Amino acid sequence: MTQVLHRLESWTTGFAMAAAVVFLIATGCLAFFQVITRFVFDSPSTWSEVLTRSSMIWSVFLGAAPAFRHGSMIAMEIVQRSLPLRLGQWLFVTANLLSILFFAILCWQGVAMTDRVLGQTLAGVGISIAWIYAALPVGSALTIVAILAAMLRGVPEEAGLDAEERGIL
Amino acid sequence: MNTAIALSLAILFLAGVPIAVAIGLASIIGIEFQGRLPLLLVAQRMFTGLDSFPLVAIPLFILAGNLMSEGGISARLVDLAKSMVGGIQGGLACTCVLTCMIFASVSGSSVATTFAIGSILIPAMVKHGYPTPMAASIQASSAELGVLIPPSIPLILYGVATETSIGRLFLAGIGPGILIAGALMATVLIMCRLRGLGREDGDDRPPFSRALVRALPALTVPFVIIGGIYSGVFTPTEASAAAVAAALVVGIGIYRELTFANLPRILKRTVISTSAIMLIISAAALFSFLVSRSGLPNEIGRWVGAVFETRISFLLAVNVMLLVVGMFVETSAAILILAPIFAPVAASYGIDPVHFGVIVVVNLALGMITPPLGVNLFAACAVAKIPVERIIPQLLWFVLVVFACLMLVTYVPAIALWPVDALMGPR
Repeated sequence: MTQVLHRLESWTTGFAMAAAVVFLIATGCLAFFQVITRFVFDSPSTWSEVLTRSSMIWSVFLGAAPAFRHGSMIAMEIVQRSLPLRLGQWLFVTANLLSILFFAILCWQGVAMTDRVLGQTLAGVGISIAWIYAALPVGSALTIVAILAAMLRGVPEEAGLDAEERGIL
Repeated sequence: MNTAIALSLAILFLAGVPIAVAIGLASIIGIEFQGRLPLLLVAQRMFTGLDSFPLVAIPLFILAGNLMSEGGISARLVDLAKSMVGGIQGGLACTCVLTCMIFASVSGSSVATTFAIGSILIPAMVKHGYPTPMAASIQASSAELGVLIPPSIPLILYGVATETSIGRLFLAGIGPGILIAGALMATVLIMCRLRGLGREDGDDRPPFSRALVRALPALTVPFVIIGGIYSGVFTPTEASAAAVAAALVVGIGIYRELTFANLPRILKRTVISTSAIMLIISAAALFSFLVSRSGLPNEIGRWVGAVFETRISFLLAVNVMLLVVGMFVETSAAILILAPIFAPVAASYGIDPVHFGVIVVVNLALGMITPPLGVNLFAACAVAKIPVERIIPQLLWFVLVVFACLMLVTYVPAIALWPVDALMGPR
């Protein structure tokens, strides 16, 4: 059972990471395109600004799952770590369940919001805003899988010492 | 509602729930407690909180910083700084401060600065006979220049949260950054004299002209960023895109240390850092919406106005509050929650919002080198491979020096505002 979950999770989180990287590259290219149009045509195109923001939003919500997988979500772990082992583990599980609860609510309300904005189009681009709002439920669902797997794997060892690998700023 | 939010936030923080999630859950509890607001706000506000063009600068500056540190810039900046100040007793410690100051102009984060520079200079200092805790504490305190000297992620956040010009904030960070760098250099020099450390720091020092030529391509990036923003050519977001492009050109084309094989790893690290910080920003937008809707900022404003009669006492109180907050709360969250509440209050005392932003960021930067949540301490100790407890006695002096600088920045507005007024004109 847990093995199936871990296999599923490494696939979903890997997918989330790859897609987030693609959206990050898109964000950079679109922002750079914005600079060029402003210099060449003297007026920035409106669609590229909207798309820059939108691809950043997708990148952020897709990146949540990998961030949980690598233990990179910034948290105050000091209490968890200074408690006796059993109590600390209990708190670790509770904290993860709370995170799952939060992303479940975000997923649920994200679907509702996506549904609500179905008829609104993105200014200057002509597609529905729902395409962008969908980042919330999709990212949240992928994140829930990542948190479940991280919780079963247990406390990341030597937390804090590998901050560079974890990419915490 | 506000009590419910504050209480649940504190409990969630302490339970070790990720900060972004804690802020989001506390907001949801607030919404449920209040009863008349729709839960749909959670998705809507978290979305609109990120849907801003100035915020795009954050992932791109993180990316540019990562590209630069992988692309061979750190080592060349160290050589440049060494050639400038390395010749005197304690020159290596000085080099650390100066390199951090230069690196800060390509990096928006102090933790990134610690890893990029500390991994070179902490071992070098230890090799030259500096005690490891001292080397780590010098690195930890100089790295906070990363958030003061532009580009700076905290200053972008303050600008977005309070609708202050990010370009002006960037320029206002330069003066305090140079002040703190100078004060830290003076401190390490005196320390080295008193303890007889760093007598042979001048060995293996490259000549200035050669170091400068080698570092020149790297220095074009800060030139693009600062020059572009203040001449009005670039918005900060456009500057961040240009910085990424420049970092690619320098790293791949000129230094040839950045290869296409490295890019996936750099991009992945950027995605993770970005999401970790941007989710906090997103949740904080929801939180701030609820707090401002409840009328709390006005209440606080009235209360503060009644208690603190003069600007001087108000600033002192704000500094104390921010120092305490900075010790316990993550920087982005602190800025996004507190700045919208206190910036209007500060304005009512006639304090320039740009000046106030710099005060906030210097305070929180000081929080990065004070336990229990001093991210710079953790980073520097991770690089130096010593437990955090060992660095603390050494650190005290640096904390005091930065605190003295904070007081100067607070009560002498010209340190922050003079470059802004000189280059961009008064508001």
